[in-house]
Amino acid sequence: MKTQVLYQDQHQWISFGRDSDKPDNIIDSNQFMVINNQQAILLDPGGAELFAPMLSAVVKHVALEQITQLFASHQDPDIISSLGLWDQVLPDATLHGPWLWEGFIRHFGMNNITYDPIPDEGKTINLGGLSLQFIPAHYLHSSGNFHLYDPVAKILFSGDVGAALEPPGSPMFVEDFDQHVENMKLFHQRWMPSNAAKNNWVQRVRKLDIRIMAPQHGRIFQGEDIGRFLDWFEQLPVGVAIDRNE
Amino acid sequence: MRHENTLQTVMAANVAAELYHAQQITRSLSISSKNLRVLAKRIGQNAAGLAVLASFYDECSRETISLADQVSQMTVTTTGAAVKEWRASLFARELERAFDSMTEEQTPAIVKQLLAGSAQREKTNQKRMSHFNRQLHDLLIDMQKNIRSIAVIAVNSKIEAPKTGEHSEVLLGMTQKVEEMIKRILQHIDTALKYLSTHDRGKYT
Repeated sequence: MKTQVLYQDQHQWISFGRDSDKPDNIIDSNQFMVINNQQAILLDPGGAELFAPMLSAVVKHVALEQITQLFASHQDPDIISSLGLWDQVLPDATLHGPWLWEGFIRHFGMNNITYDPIPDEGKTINLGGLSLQFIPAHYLHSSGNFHLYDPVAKILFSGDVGAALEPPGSPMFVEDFDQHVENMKLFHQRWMPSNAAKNNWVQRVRKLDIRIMAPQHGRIFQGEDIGRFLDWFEQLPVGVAIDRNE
Repeated sequence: MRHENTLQTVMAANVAAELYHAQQITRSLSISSKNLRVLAKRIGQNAAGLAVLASFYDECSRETISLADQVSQMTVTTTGAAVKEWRASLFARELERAFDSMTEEQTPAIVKQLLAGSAQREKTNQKRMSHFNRQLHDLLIDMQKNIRSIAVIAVNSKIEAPKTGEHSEVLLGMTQKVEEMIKRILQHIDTALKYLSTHDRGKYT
């Protein structure tokens, strides 16, 4: 599991991904951890198959007791099917997730962790004095979906938005946006069902001051590539499977 | 209550984390030994004793890094294996629940087979984990011994330093840094051993 520090100041952002031991037929995913004042939150901690490498990777940065919060952007297995295992090692933690999916996510096994349902309009949480905002991203792709924005580090964890399907071992950051478009196009057109939801999200995100946009699959966007992405995504027709059936 | 496999997984991950930090410091230690050797060479005859000590430093550091690599590999494999067992035991527990609510006629043959298999698997797993923990303990003790040897070399370097005249202050400074690094490495190894002994209730100590 590769680890990369994305932000290091009063608090830290760390990304985990590109696990070389991961079975080939499992989609690669990026996991993130924000650490502030000896408290940490894991963002989309990953599938059950990733639990062991993730556990080994996170304890290099924080003691387990310091991981007090988890966030699941939506209900997919690559996001949170490891929940039943984290539930055993972080019994006192709180999982923030869309209210819509609480009853579904609990199927992954949750006997100890507390579920904090995020209302549709989003909310702000506190991590050791740092405010983190859950930004609504409904229908991108899940019908109950949130992203996380850190206004201090200016990082947006964008879940499946900005995701790309790439071969294992690809670089962590977007190097050539125009080339990268080909890796993102199918994913966004097929997984994202609603043009209205997409445009609504683009409008909302344009108002945020973002330095880094970090999706859950593929590469991380920095600087001007974020604006390029928003422009590209805005004009991209999504929900294409309907057209294919006609 | 946490399952034995959960505890094993967490213990292996914590030991790996401590060793990761120890390994990072040992790498710096290895660089210090190279610097010491270069300096000893530059000083010449007056630092002949130091040159020998620097070689020992280097050798011990490299051995320690290699041991830490072995431990790291072992813990990664074991964390993965422990999680697999943990998931298998969760499955076995659910299977037992299902079995308890079935009559003899209702119970499919595969359920009986799986239940019998899971009991055997649990036994084998316990043996394997116990073997792993013993190996881990031995490797950690070897690392501790290596680092303690470096500590002895550091003391000897301090004794040799005044013989180098004008360079003695630089050498003493370097030795002091090495001693600080040694202290931190030993702390990480001690913590790793504590994780292990807490888990195994002092079986190997």
